[in-house]
Amino acid sequence: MDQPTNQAPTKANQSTQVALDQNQTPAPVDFVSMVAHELKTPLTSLRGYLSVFIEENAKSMTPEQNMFLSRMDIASTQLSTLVENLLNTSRIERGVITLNPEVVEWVPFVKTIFVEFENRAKERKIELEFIEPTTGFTKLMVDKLRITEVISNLITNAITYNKEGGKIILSIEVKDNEVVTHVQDTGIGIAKEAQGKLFEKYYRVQNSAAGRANGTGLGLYVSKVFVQMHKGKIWVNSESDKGSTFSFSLPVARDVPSVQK
Amino acid sequence: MDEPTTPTLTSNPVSQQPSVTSSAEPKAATGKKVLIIEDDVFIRDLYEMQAKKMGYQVITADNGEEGINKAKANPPDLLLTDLMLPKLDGISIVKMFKSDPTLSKTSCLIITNLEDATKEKEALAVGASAYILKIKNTPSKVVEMFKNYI
Repeated sequence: MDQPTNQAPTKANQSTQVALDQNQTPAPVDFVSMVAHELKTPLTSLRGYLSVFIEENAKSMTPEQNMFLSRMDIASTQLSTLVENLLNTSRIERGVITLNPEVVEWVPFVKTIFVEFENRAKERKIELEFIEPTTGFTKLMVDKLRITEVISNLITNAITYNKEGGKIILSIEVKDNEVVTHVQDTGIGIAKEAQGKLFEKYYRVQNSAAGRANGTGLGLYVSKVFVQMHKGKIWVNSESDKGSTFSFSLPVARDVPSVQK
Repeated sequence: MDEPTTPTLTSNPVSQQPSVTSSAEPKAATGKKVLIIEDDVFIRDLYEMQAKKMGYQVITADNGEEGINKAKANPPDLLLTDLMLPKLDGISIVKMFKSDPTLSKTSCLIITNLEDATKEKEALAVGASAYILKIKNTPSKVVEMFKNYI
């Protein structure tokens, strides 16, 4: 639109000028990353005050009040996970994810994460079962933060898409050079035609019962990238209405001098 | 995340966990002084309350300049500073602490929501003892860490 010339400023040409200025303002380089980071500040306050309140008052609360607090805690965790997945997707797209690997004893590490979902599973009357290997070398070199996000994403999905009163079994299988972790649920399952696209960015399975797709389509994508960065693989076995098993493999840390047998 | 001990699946849910700090009398004062620099008042107040409950003497500031001035007047045993602050960022604050003879022995912890391995390395390289992620650690857990550094 041409700039009017030799005219006294009027509302009409002032609004034209504003529109032009807005068109010329460049978008921030990474808007999603900036927004997600800003969201973390009020979220930190929310979760911080909630955790202190629960720590100090849970024993004197009625069961109903504890249930309220528990649900607030779960909801704030869900929000935190969503923000984290947004940030991670942005970092992956910008190629700025780096790993800080350290040696972990896999079985207790995974169990600790699993136990943290007990509250949320209870809300939907879902039973949790942990099956650990009895033998085998289970020290891995992993970035604890990133792998925690992988495990958390898989367990979250197993709860979300499970049936009320269902079950989640997390099992660990030790092979020669790798450890495979399985998260099995008794949920709604995934149609064969959707399974190939599950780990694609933004892909969401259509929930025919709800008439819409759930989730952001980022959790499995981020999980796949993180597992692959660790030189592992991630896959799914599923059947509609019978449940799903999400599995991922990670190489063992035999070659690290500090962990040689 | 610290190396975990092995819990059981029957562990108590959050709502039934025992209190880390009691709402009754605070523990006997450790006599240790902590300076908290954080520009978000909600978060600053939260850490201040928790630290006082654990018996620390607490000084606070909402920006780096104010924090450094208060520290010079009353050197703390431990500094807990946000990373992204107005006027002076957390890494600059740690640098100034480490180059000042009256403050160089203060243990410096950076607390932030910025997950950035490069920033973390930079913070540790200038003398920070820890780079803590706010959203991954409850306030109680953060204050519990203080005793590891003083």
